[in-house]
Amino acid sequence: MFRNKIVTNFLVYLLLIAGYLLFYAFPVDKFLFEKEETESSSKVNFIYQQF
Amino acid sequence: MKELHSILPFTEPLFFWFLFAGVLLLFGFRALFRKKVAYRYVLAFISLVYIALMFTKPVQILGLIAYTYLVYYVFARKLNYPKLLLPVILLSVPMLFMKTLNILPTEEPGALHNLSIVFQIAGISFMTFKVIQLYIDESGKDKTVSFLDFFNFTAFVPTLLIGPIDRFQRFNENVKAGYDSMQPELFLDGLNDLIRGLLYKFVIAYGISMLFLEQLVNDGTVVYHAKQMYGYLFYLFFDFAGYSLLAIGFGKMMGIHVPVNFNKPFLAVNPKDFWKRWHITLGDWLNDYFFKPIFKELTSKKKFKPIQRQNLALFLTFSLMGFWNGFELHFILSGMLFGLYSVIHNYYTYLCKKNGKDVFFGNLPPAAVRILSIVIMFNAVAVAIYIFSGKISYLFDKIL
Repeated sequence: MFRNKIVTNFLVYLLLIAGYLLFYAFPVDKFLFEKEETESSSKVNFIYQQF
Repeated sequence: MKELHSILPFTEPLFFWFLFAGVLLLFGFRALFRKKVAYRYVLAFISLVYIALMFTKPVQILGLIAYTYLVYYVFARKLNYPKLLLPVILLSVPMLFMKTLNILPTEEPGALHNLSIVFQIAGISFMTFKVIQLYIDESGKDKTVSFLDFFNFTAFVPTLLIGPIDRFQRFNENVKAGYDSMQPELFLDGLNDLIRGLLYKFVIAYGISMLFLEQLVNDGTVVYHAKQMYGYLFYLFFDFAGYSLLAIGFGKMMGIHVPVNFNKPFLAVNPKDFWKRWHITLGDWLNDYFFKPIFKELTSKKKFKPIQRQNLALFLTFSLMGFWNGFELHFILSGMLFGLYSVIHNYYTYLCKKNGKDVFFGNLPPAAVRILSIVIMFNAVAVAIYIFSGKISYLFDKIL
């Protein structure tokens, strides 16, 4: 049980750090796609403002 | 300072720093001034500072809280008004007004445009559900809910925008416990939820949106819609569940046990099971404050058979959920479709009981029934959520 929790937490932290590096520190979309602007959080905020 | 008034919960790094500062402040008072300054005052101070400095339209949200408290105070305390319908309608009026404005052409300069600027209050739907719950549960009690407790409940920063929808009685027990509710174990537990919330919302949901959904080209084919549908379902789950985890995490760090909102929803075997796993606090709210009263009302009229009463109450409940999301056609249709799913399942359960056997799956082994049920439910949910997203609104426009 305790071991499972450690493994899960390790994976969560690993994915979070990897995600941060890929999406925010060195945005992968700029290399992969030729797009001026992404929907990203602005769209999310708009959705939430409706409620 | 003006640009600060655009920071919705969990959307900007500054918000996270603010809440960390709030948690630090609470722990600081817990260590140094616990005898002099009560927990509830510090909590109210944090909410007030956030609304005043960062939240969009601070005057409107504070006005809304004052208005709803006035309705509670006048009807429940001063008039001892025995019925619920009128106060509940009065509590819902600002939300209904905003939802109506949403479907009117408010882009052009004019009176409607000005009204929409004033009344578009983020989080109004969730706040309305919270105050209705508070009114229904507290109006018959001897003790008056103080404005401070009312404010703390309605303006609690982590759940201000989109829940989870807490209950006043439960929330207030944590507030009453005060600084004692802030325990190191709970803090660490909250930190864990926070980390998972960040992963869900800012890595997985963002990744699905950026790397998958935004790259899809609408060629009008079934394959495009299928990709959009399943992609959006996973995006919405990780975004909303992530948001809920962030709220739960910060709640725990501040000593408030915000209720769980998601529990493996894609393993649901039927609509009833689904609403115990997806947006759980909304499902519970609808069950307690709409389904049960309407079923009771229908039962007292004795106009319908029990199965018809159940089905009608179910359909009306989920239709209300659709209207609560907004008066746009895609929200209403999505709610009605969820209602239809529940009616079909309820009738299926009724027929199984009546015939003494499974009228759909026959003699299939239980494990196979379970797997098939999960697959059917998952796809049914994907269709309803896709309609909810409004991404196929143009199809409705063509039909209508």
